[in-house]
Amino acid sequence: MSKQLDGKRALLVGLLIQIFLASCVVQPPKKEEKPVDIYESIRNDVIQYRHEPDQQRAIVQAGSDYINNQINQVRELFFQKDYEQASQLAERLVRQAPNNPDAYYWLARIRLEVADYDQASQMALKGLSVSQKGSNVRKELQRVQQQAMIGAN
Amino acid sequence: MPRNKKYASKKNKRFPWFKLLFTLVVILGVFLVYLDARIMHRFNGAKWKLPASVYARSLEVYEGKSIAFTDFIQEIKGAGFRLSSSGEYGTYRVAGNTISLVTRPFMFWDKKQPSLDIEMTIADHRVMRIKGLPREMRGSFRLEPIKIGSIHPQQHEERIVVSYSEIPETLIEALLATEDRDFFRHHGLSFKGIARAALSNLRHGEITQGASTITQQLVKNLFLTNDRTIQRKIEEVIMAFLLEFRASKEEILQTYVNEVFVAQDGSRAIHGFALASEFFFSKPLSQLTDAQLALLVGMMKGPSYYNPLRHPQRATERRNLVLTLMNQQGYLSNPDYYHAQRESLGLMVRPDPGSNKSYAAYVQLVREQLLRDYSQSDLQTQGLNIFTNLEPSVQARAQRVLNQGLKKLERRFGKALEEANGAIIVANHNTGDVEALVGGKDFRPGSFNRALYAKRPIGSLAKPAVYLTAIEKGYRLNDLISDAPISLEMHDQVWEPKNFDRKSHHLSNIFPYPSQNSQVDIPLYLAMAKSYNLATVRLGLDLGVGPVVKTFQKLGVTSEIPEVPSLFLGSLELTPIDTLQFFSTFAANGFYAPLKAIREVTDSNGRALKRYKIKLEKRFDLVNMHLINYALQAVMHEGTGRSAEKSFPRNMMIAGKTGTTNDLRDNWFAGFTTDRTAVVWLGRDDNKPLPMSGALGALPLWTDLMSAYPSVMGRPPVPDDIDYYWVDVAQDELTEDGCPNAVFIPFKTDTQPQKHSACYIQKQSDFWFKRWFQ
Repeated sequence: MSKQLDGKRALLVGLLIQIFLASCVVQPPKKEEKPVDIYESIRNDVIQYRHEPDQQRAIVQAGSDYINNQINQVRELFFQKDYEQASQLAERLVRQAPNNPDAYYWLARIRLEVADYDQASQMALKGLSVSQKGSNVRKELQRVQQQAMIGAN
Repeated sequence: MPRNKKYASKKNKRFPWFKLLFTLVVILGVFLVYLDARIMHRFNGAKWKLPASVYARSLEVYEGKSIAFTDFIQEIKGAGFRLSSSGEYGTYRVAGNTISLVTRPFMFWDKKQPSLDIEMTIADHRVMRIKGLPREMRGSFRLEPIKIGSIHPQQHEERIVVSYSEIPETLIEALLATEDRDFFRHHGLSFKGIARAALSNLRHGEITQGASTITQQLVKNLFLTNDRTIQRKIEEVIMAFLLEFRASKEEILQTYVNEVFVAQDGSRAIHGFALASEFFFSKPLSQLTDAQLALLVGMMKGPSYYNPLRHPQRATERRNLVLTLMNQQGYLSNPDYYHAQRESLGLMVRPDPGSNKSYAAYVQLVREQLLRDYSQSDLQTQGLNIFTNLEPSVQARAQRVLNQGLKKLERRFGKALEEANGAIIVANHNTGDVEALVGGKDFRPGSFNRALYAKRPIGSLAKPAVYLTAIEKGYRLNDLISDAPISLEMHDQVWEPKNFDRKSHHLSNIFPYPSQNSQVDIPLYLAMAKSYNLATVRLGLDLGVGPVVKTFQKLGVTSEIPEVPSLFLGSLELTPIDTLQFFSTFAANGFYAPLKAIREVTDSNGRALKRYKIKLEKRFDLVNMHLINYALQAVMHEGTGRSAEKSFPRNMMIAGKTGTTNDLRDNWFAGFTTDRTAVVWLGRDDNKPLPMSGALGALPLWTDLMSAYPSVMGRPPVPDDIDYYWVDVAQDELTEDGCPNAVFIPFKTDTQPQKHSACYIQKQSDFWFKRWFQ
């Protein structure tokens, strides 16, 4: 009886070992790849467009600390009335972060200060085109644009 | 004979010495005044004709900057950095993903950046950390820009001019020891030197030593020829005296150090020790060792004979002679002397960075744009520094893509491609900066620059202008237009345009559409995405030629536009750069930014002369641009540019248009990402046809180029007056989200369909919408 049991036990153990080995050798079935949904990005982006933090995330990609630092420098130079340096720095900013409305905002203000009303207006319009609805920078850009229009007339 | 008369005759017979002497003195005086004027004219004015130096944009480095490790290494190599742990200027070393570099001081257009000893880490295509930056630099530094060319007169002399204070003391000592040991004591002519040279020459029985002082040598180099005549020698002596009278010893020495001819590098004559130092040792004069300075001084006796590249043994012996003279005259201590003599030549040749052929086409554009503001002579002689927008990595890749792409196409399409050529031009559409320009395959100076001058019909690249005109007139993206055959009678001739596949299309042809109303025309956005000629001509005729011409002009086309219906299909001839200009306006959401190669110009002393500011002009409404750019994106997802889609990340915005002209003579692709627009043109100079369309020719090259650069992911914000809806285009009805028989398209507010319909649940595996929305 016990011999029979031992045989069954051995068979069971052997079976378990086989199952274990088989599970190691046989790879799990591949997960079926999800079909590409090329509209997904558009849908997601539409949602993203409405939220300013997400735009900030894009700026993070270009080194947010640096960009913020640059914006601060432009601001400092602007208030020191060093418009030439401020303009150069703001243009560098536009090259590095083309979708950052702050860069255009400062460029617009600088152009306004040097009485280049046409370009002040254009920079403000460009800034508006990349700014988020309801954002503070948008309101500021609208204000600068109006001032530029008044200046031009 | 009266006494008076006798006296008078004696007087008459006497030779008029006084008059002769007086005349001679006057002549000599005039001659001296003339020589003096020559000297002062040269010394007070610009002493040399300095060619303009043209630079690429300088790379701004900061923590978080997106750049590949290999690209950064290429960039610093291009700027002349060399792998070395010496810690000298312009050297770098690499340990894992950390790069240590010592930058050279550089005068940028706005300020001078001192030499920096920096350690930076690049991982995952991003600058992770920068150590060693002074606090006032606020976490960023600029790499010295790569010199991409120079604009020089026919006689190609180059030099880097240094001031007296920048001349190393050892160089002055080496010059004094070798060339003129009494320089600071004599007045232009050294009698001691003459005696010493005469003795030495007598002793050796041949001319082994010259007696010319540094001042005489300078006079000869600046004003006289190498003729060995008495007259020339007299002039030299007089002028040396005059020069010593007019200029200080320091001025004379400084001019000598900058004037002297040291070597020939191809067509470029290297003058002055500063440029020679950069050429032979890849470092500034102030960084040279005693032995290296001695080598340069030694070479002056015979720049070709003692050229260390061709005759290292001879040059070493000559260098050691200079070192011996310095030691004998007390300028070099014994230990320094023994050490310098044992030093290897240490050559690290830095060829003319501007001779890189791949920049030649771009420099041509720079020259063209400069000539609007500067005269040719200013460019060739004033030593201007031109800072451009060229992105070296994009330029290098664009040239490689064209060369290799044409070879690949040749393997695929056979011999017909042997004679094919092309052009690529890339710009940042937000600023108008031209970043790269390739004028042809294996372009070299003097080649025909196709990017600037090849004026060719643009084919279907014209279609976006037609569709933009339609959108401005109120058309919606889902409006259906007919693609049925059409014939037009013009000037007694019948024009029957055809589609590329010679067929006419409607929705059920393109997609197995399950709607009952499947025999309908084509939605507007799809007609453009699929580049249907018949639909475009019908739409164009509905709009009229005039409005389309105006759209082209607003987009930035300045050349003459033919006012004929074939304009709708691209009979308009443009160069690749003009094409880029008008396509950039699409990319920049309706803002026109004039293309420009130049950013800043400074004079030879680094003073800013002119800055080419970013200029923008809003020419189109944002809403209309959003709609047309949706259609241009659809080209890449559903239309003729679809093959490129898989090469880009899914959340990267790509848009563009293929273009093929009659009989496949011109092969175009113009397209953009969030921050960059590129135009590729392929064709033959003899205007013979190519065996492929723009989708098979220019598009793969564009894809290869643009997919290499990480772009800002996502899309720019959606304008306030735009809303997206799921629409069944055949029924012109709104549907539920994700409906298989609908498309997700933007509408100007309140222009969306008002009716709603249910989804078709019917399953069809090859239904194209379904694949997208699953």
